[in-house]
Amino acid sequence: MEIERTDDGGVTELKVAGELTIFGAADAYGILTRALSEERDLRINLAQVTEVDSSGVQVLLAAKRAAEAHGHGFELVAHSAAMLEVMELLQLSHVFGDPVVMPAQPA
Amino acid sequence: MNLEPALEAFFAEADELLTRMEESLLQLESEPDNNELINDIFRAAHTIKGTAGVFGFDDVVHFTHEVESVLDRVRDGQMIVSNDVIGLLLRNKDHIGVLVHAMADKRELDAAQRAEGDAQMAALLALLGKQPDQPSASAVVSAPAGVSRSEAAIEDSCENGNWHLSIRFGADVLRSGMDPTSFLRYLRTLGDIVHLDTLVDALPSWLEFDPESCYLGFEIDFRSEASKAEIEGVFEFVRDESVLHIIPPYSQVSEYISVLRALPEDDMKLGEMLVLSGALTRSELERGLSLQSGAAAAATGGTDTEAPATSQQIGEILIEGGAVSAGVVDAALAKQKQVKDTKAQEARSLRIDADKLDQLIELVGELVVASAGVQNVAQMLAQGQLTEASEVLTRLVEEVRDRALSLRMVQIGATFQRFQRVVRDVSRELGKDIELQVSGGETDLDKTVVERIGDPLMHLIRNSMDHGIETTDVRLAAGKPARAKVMLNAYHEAGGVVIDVADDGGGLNRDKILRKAIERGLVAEDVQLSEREIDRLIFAPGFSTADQISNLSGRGVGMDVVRRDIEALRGTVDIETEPGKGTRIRIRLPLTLAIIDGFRVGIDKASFVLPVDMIVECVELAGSIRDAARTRGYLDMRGEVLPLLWLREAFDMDSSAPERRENVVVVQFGQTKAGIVVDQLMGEHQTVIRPLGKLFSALRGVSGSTILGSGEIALILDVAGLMKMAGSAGATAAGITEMQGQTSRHAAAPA
Repeated sequence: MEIERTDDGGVTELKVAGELTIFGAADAYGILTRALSEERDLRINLAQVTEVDSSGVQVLLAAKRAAEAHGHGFELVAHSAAMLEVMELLQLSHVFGDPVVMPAQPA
Repeated sequence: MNLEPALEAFFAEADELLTRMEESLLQLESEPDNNELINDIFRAAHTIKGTAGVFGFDDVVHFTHEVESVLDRVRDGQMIVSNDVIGLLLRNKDHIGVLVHAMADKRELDAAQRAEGDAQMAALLALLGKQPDQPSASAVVSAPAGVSRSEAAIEDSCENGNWHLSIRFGADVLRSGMDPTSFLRYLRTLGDIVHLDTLVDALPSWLEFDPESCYLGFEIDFRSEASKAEIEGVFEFVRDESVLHIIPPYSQVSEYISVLRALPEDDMKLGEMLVLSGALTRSELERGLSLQSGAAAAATGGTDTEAPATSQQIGEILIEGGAVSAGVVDAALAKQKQVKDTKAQEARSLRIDADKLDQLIELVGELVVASAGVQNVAQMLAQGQLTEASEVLTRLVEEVRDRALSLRMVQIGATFQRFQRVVRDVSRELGKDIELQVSGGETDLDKTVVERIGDPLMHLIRNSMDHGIETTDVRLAAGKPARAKVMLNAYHEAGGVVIDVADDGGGLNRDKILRKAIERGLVAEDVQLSEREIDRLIFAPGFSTADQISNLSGRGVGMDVVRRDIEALRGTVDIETEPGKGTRIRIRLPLTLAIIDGFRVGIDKASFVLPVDMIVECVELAGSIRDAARTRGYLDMRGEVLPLLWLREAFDMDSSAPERRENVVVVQFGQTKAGIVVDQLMGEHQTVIRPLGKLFSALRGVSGSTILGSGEIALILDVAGLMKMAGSAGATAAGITEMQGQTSRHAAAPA
């Protein structure tokens, strides 16, 4: 899993590539912790996520909660097919509340 | 990481849970329809299993898992709570205790324990196997056996034709390489997930969030033709560490309610509960929610305090809208209240290390001695202000002492309750119908005493049941009710606690006892014994009248051990029996083992302390009465015979008695009185009991020592022991050597 970070001034965008699974959960948590500590709005780009498991979903849910608890935005964009499959399985779209665009935008 | 403290907490908790489990099981026997009890039992087993799993006690987990499966069946109403099932579960509970204790002591089970475990396991599996999982259709027909009366009012079965699955994954699921989503994918191969709710309530705050732990739970409406076993099978690999409830289609609403009650979430919002219980559809809930602004916030987050308030409103709106029946809402609210009540109760008590308490009491003991010293000095100086100040100090110290000692006091009720189980099991084994009546459970007693009185009581109760109570035929023939009674009662009596173990059985058979005693050489053949002395023979070492050695008692180790245990607690045991009516064994115990109110007496320059509680009165011994008492060895106390003991002679002190007068301290122990003759009476004194060293353990008539305020040492007299000495002349004559005192009056009177 790799996470690429861009900043357009107002929002920090994290672009996740590869597996968002238990194997990278600790890394993802570390990177998100840093991003959250900057007290900015966060955008997570999921276009290149190839696989998501419960731990991946969990870390995103927890991050969303944490960001919103501090009054910052947290959005998921460009859901990949793998992400959409899990969100559909767990019926999470209303939990995340982000508009889902199908098919996923190419990166 | 040092797990010791956590482990200790687990062992302590396991004991408590097992006790609770046993209580609930016993209660369940009389109220088989009480769902609360079943849930209680299930929760206890479940908590033990869960915690044991965390520590990797696989044996405990493995065994408890099967117990839990049986309980699960009971809870789902698939298994009837028969006495056999309860009997097995009680034994299971014992075995779990054995397993846990083996873990605590870091030892292996012995062969017998292992065999017992295997036998129980086989029985459990047989229970589970005999009733294979029923397909959904029959589950609908079988009315749940465990529906409590209050819930019977809302018997309407719900219209939900789907299975309802409620699952909370264990925290370690991800770490052990399993992914909840893959289970759900697999579940989909068995049918359709109609609706699924991902529960994220367990997610902690970001900083406490562990990315490798699993916090997820799911509520699933599932349409499938699969059997319950197949659905359960999906979660096979996480079954042990996760909480899974499966409700069949068209179940009674009450089943949803019982699952709802068992769910782990305590901050569960009512709305969610209702949806999850399948009692209303999601759209009905959403309609309800949209009627109320701010409810959305409560659905996603919201704190403990505001959630119930909001939810209540949701509840009202839903009832008004006709979406749910009031019964369902009440049950959901009751769950919330229950959660709150438990929390409030938890806050009220505090767990303290027993050592800390002992240190405190030790210090208080020192304080008592020191303040007695101050009082002494104040009296000597005879200075008004100082005396007054020291009086105030003494009063406060006394109060502190009482409070400190009361910290160690526990109610004896919990110990009594344990015997319900014993009586139940033993009465089955003996084929007698016996009930245990317990009273005075609220009587406070020192913790050490309570802990150590359990075994003797157990013995006495078993003895009553085995020897005391007749068989049902005999009882009926004697015109007694078939159901026999064993009664346990506790109450306070001056300075001590009395525990009665009584039965309404046949009473002691004195002829038989005497015959046996002569046979065993405990008494000489030609001796005349009073009834009371015969009764007391059963406490002699190696005595047993049982014709048949039963599995319970009659092995010859018994009553003398009971007596010794009780005497070790500075207590006594007494027996009253009436042929054909029953027997009562009365145990007297001191309130505490640490500090007593003492009465100081003197012989020449030496001081002795007697427990004030045992003193009835003091009389002067002078003149002609004194001479008469000297020759006769007893005193005529207002027409009663009072055996006397000259302390100077008892302890071989070689000073001579004062010329003019001596004093008699009349002490009472149990029903017996005796007089102890001393030189001077020196008044009341708070006394911290210090045990005598090993060297003096054979010393009779002295139970300990204490340090006086002046720094001098005084011996504390053991009244029971002294009375034994006072009566020993008579008793020896009667041919009894190893018997405890309390000789009746006519025996004490010289022949």
